[in-house]
Amino acid sequence: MESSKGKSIATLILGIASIVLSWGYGIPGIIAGIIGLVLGNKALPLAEANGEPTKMAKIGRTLSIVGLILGIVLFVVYLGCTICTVCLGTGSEALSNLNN
Amino acid sequence: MLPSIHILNKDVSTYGLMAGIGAILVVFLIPAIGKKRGADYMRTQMMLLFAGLGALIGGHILYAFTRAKDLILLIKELGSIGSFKELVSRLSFIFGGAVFYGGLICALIAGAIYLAVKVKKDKSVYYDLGAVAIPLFHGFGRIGCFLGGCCYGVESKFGFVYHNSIAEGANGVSRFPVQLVEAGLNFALFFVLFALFRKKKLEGKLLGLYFVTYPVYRFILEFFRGDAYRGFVGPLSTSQFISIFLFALGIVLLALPRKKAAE
Repeated sequence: MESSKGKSIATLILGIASIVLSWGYGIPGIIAGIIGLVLGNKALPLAEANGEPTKMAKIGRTLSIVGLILGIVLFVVYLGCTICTVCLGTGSEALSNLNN
Repeated sequence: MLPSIHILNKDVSTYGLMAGIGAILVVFLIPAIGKKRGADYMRTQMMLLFAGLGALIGGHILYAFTRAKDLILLIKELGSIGSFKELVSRLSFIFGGAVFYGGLICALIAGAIYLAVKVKKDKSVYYDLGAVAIPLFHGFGRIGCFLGGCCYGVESKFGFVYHNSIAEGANGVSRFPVQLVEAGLNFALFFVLFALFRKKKLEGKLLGLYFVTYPVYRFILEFFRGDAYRGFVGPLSTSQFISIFLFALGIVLLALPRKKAAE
């Protein structure tokens, strides 16, 4: 019977990494978040089926989701795309307003 | 108002921050609510994440439609663009905003595709959860709009004066806080839909209820918007135009038998 331990540990590590990398660099955090989420989606049902502890997989999956959302938010800000809707007169104008 | 705040050596857009808070709240709260009604926690969460991705893409695409002339011009001038920075700047202008309805429509499509692939049984509880999630997230987004200074209101004695809005046109005059009014209405709608979901009222019909409610107050609030460059279709703003169709869709969804409405 395949153990979920390896996947759970990897999910936790990737979850922590996604938050750190998202804050620092954006895209790497998004990638780590996606991989952590996919692994977590595999680890959690496996752990439940095996009767193994699920805490690590749950925490890792949660952190991956938070890191993914954080990464997307910060990446979009970096592109100058966010800042709400329909309000960019020009991209450079809005960016210069933000920087000031 | 407060377009950005400094956190851990980083300037973070307050709109992004509010959108992020709303997204995180939705992605963890809504599945927990749904679990009590038999919806699978992970499936609900993944549906919401896919819907979020659809919203991100769709919102920007619909915004680009309001900038269609600039997009056509960019394509024509593609060969003469001097630098990558200039290209990014022009693309930011065309795709750099987002329209809620574009995001909503693509979010629903993305969520529906996920459910079609992953959920074989009755999907109505997931659609109801989606209906509860939308106004919750949107409320936070509108607070972000208020803080950032975009989607601003008409000039009004009752209101707030922006001095450093990201939208230059908003600054210097007192403006009706249309963003906060919409945020309040969105949160009120969330609580109503949540209460109906908990009490198992209008099962499979909450999305229809959302579509007959939100477009009505959105249509009205559009008259209090002061940002003229958000796009118009004749005398109506883009969002007013779409509101009419979504209201009609809501009527259809409410009228259909429950299973057909979910499909």
